[in-house]
Amino acid sequence: MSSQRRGKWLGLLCLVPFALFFIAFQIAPLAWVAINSLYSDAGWGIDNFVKAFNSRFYRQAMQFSLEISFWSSLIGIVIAILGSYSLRKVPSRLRDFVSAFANMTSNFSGVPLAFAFIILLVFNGALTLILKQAGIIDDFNLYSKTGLIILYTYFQIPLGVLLLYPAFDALREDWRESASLLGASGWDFWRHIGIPVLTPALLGTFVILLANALGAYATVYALTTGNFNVLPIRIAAMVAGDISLDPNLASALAMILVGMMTLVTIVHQWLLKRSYHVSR
Amino acid sequence: MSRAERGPVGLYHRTVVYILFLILLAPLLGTFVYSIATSWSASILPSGFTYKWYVALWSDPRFLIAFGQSLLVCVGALILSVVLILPLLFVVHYHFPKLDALMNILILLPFAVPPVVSSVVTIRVFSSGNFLSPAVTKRAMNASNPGVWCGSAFFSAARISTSAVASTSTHTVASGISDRLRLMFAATALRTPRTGVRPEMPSPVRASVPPAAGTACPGVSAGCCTAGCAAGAGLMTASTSRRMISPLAPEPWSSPKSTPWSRAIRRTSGEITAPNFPGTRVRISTRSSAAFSASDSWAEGPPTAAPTEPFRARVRRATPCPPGVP
Repeated sequence: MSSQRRGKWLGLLCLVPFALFFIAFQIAPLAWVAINSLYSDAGWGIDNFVKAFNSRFYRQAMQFSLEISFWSSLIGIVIAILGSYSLRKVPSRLRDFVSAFANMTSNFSGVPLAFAFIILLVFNGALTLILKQAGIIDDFNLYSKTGLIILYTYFQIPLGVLLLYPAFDALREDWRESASLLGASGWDFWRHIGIPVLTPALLGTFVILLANALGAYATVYALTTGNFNVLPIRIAAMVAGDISLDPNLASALAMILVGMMTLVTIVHQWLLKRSYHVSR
Repeated sequence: MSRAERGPVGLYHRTVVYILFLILLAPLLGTFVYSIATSWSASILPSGFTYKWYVALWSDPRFLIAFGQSLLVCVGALILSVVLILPLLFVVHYHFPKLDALMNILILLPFAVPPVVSSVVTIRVFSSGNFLSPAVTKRAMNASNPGVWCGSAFFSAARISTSAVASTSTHTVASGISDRLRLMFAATALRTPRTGVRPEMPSPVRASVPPAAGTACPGVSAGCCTAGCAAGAGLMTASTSRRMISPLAPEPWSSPKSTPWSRAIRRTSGEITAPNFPGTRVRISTRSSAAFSASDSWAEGPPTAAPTEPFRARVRRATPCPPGVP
């Protein structure tokens, strides 16, 4: 028994470095933001939050952030579902290659991604020219909201494939066989078995994609050099910008962003629990 | 569900995969063509090709320094994630199972804080003259110190590893490793395993092992470091995934009385409406892997060594009841 106890103490010792790192790089910054968000020129209070919510400018930033994140996550997850399902149905050599490639491209974001899209999709970009000559589009502005949604969707797709690919493990071929033996059509199978089984994975992936998009900064900054009004840009501009420096208001915006994420995460967890209890 | 389809359905799936591949390839290809073009503007194809940009890049000392720094941060964060997360996983798993709930919160935390917030604030917290700096040695903790960047990169990696965790991917390499370890512990009777052995061959999931993640975009951007360390941390934390989704997938094999293989027997059931029989709801109930009776106990030794094909087939069916079965 004593050796087991000693093992426990040794184990506890192993946790110390992680705990230190967690405090230094996760808790401390978060605490710093939380404390600073409550301080303004007028003293302690929620002035910063009131200011952020009363200003049309910051409300627009929140709205754009949410809109871009939502649409890019939705389009991204739909493409990822189709892609990762098909990925399981192709010969293994192709599957291995494409899934390895998706893994690689899921890290292709930020400045290089923005640069690549500038090459392909700006007014004189190669893809824009091709599409224009084919008569599919008249004009396309990458620096608009639609452009950003396309850009965000690009880095959502590989992440979605990465997360959803294992989730399809949950579906078993014999269920489909049983269902079709009982007369269920393909749609019935998905409606009653496939989608309910996959729901937790889909929800979880969606939340992660949303978080990924909400927090994305480098990509949108590299593309628009801070001219597009989204929350991360506003936060960074007020903390590290050279025109308007207001770290306290930035902290409040950051807390709002954290709050949005927390809300989404809580809803996600709640839905997960609910789906589990229903299944019981 | 991973059988390759043939015929028109197979053609559809292959087309979808090729389209996916093309979508993902397009920006990379564009960048590459641009990098070997003499000049490319306002035309579909560049006017000529050259490799002089690469020569110029590799003979530029500033680029080489930046490249070295990126690699340093990348490898640093990678090592940190292995050194910090691996012991944590095993210690919590074996000695402090009660910490599971706390671990869930810790795992979710980096995920709730967007990277822009954490990185911007890390600069402010650790730059000299702030409240944390006097407490620690100035030289060790400076916002421009690579150590600090490794630390913050580590947490952006933690965020992505969280993704792997929350993806309900129970079949990860790491969980396979932990299962094997448990098998080892049980077989050598070093200690009683806390939970039963999951009767399932570890199926390596490619998604959790990015083979070339770190090497993909060699250090020109800071994003690279996240890439590399995310690969490592993703792999490491992935094994906590089962804990993460524990509200979904109960661990029926942890009942103390049953033998490991009888624990494999669990019912999967579903209910569908059969259109051929209007008004009836048919309950599908399969007793998967009923072939494992209680006689397959530890006395015969855990069947780890090269299972035969039918055995494997049966074992595969013994995967835990997936979440959300109606």
